Amino acid sequence: MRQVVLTGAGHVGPTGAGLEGLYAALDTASVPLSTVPTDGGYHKPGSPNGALTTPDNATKGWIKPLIARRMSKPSRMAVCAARMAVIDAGLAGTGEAWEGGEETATCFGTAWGGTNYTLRLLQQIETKGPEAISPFLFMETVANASAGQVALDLKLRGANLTLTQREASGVCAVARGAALVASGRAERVFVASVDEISPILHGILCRFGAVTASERPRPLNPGADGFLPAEGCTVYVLESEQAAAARKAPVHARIRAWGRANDPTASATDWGTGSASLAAAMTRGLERFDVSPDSIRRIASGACGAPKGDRLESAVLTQVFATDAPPVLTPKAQVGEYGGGFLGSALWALNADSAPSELLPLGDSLEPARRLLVTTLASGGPAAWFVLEQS
Amino acid sequence: MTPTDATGRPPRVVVTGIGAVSPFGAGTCALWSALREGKPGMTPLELFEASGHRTGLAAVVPDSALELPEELRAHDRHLGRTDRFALLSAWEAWQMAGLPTDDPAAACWGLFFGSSTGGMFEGENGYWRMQAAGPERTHASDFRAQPNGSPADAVARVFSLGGPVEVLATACAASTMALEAALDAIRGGEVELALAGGADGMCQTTFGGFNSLRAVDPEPARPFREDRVGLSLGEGGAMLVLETEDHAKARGATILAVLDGAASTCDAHHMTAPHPEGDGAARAIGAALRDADMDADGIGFVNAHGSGTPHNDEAEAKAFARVFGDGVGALPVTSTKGAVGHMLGSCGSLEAVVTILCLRAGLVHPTPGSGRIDPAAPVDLVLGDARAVEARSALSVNLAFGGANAALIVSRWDD
Repeated sequence: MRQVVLTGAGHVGPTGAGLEGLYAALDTASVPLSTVPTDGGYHKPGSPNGALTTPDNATKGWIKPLIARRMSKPSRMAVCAARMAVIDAGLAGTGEAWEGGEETATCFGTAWGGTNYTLRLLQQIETKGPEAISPFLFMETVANASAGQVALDLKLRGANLTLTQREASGVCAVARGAALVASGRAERVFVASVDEISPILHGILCRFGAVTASERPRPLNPGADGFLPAEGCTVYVLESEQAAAARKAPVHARIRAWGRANDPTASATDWGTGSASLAAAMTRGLERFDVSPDSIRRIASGACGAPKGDRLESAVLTQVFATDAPPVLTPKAQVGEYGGGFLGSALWALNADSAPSELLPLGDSLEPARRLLVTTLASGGPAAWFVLEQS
Repeated sequence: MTPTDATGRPPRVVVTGIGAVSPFGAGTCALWSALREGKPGMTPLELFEASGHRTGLAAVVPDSALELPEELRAHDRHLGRTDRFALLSAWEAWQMAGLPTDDPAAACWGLFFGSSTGGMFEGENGYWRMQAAGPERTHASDFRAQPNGSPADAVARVFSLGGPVEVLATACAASTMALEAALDAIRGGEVELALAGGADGMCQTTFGGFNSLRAVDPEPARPFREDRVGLSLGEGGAMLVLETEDHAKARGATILAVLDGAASTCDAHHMTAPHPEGDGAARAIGAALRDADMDADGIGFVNAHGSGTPHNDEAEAKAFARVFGDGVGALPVTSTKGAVGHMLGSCGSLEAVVTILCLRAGLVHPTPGSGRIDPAAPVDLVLGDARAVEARSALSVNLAFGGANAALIVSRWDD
């Protein structure tokens, strides 16, 4: 099995374009809170309206306006983040053309796809009749539109996958992308997490009681009342160690292990209670890669403020790490749920010397750590994790 | 980490169960019977208002096929149509594989699933209700089955699957890719056994969308025929039980077929149109053959993507010519989509099931209808009656929006 390294990353989100803005917000625990209009007929009166949305101008300068006009917001964010990742990985300089070719695959995770365009398409049916549907809108309603646009933009001719596993979508994409490289199916993979928050999606999440009424979610806190929906995109470039070495690429981290599991006790709309089974799966999964839980000295938990999900996450980590639990960071207190914030924060979490107390809900203090476990559980049952190791 | 056999190769992955829900009803028997007869499954669409569209035809699963068996009734509440397609086809495959419903080993077994729209039909109905009744009188449960992963979650819940669950939403190649994902997970030692396949249901977004693209035929689709003008949409589900050969033999399972190879590629050419020379499709087929350690002449017939759109069939025929060279003229080709419609994310697994049925029967099912083969898409399309073949292995191909292509190599179990 080939070793997998992370050689580049790009990010677009509520803090704008670039990981620097995201890291600065994480360092200072500042939440770039915005609001979603709740008067469009999708929310019940009194619903929370908080969200972390990406400014419309965040992708400006990265995509020509003529091309951007033909893309949904998730596709624009994805293409922008992928172009940043190309530069960060040293595959091309700013403004230089680069083509990924046959050996480069794409593996994207999205919880909801392009919900704004789907809504607009339904509105066209409703108000103008079926014959008035725009084929351009339809093309961008499909969940794999972002991955297709990135492949088209960068000429990535390897496998092109899109995974939809709710809150675990991005981490699942990393796990699958790493497996593609490790097995030799691809030399290089652009993995990503991308989502947008449309008013109708926000309204539906509120109906399920999923959205916090607070300005900041409080993962792993007894007072947690939900998560903050977020939009954005983070792209990682994963490569085989040999390919990276051959082109003298900068290696940001090694993907030392990865895995997926499922909690069949979960209902269709909530997290389950199968912590023992999930903990056993994670332990087995780490063993497959000869990674001992003892060697992991920091965790980026996907706990998001959803009470049942956080209880499950806490129980799983307690069982995997027993009495020697490493410090637990909860980046979703800062970056919210969905979008690319969580993947973007993983690299920060691996290397941070300190973290604001808002992201250390158990009162841990950070100690130097070579390995970081990035883990997330999703409503409906999916679970995924990967271990980032300093290069 | 990757287990190997005595020859140093990864373990062979075999199929021990298959299940399907199609416009011909629930079960692989109903499907095979109709396919052998060359029956098209398209009928006037009644699931929602379809007037005003280019076509009012679609291949829809009859309501009579959606009832769950007694053993699954406890899970009947809040299921969407696509959830039912997934559960019913998984149940048939599970039963055929001789697997108990309470096997504790399921805690380590996986699910690899493809769907392009999941419960969009229910999500749309929730939206229409919201528009009609107002936000205060709309219930969260109206959207319960909407997530794309909902059918997969339902299967994992009912069969108590605790291993990896992967939901692929790569449009029309989704469940072909799900089979590839399962193959990799089993070969790599992540799981010993997995359910793999997909389900997709009709909804206004896709029906209206394909009509807006003018990619549909007002009459039943005529893949590879000179007068074809587009596809017919369909719906349904298909699931397979995959496991290592050793695992199947150890538990005394009946082996139906071998999943020898799989691969996927991207055209990176256009969001909705295939590469005009079939470049990505040819690369996917070539890579799948290499994955199966097989030469092109090992393929005895092809279950084509064969959607019936002018661009697709021509590009696909060119891909076949690139891979099979002069041999393409003697290679029987069928399009299951000509019978069951284009089942979107579930077409790949359904066509894999059909390919296995063909291999086991020694027959390639006919593509419904008649007509002259397009000289620009020159394939040996099986028309009229089912054709007897002595094929050991077959190729199944699917192409998708976003330029995605996926190919599977399936072989008869001869041991």
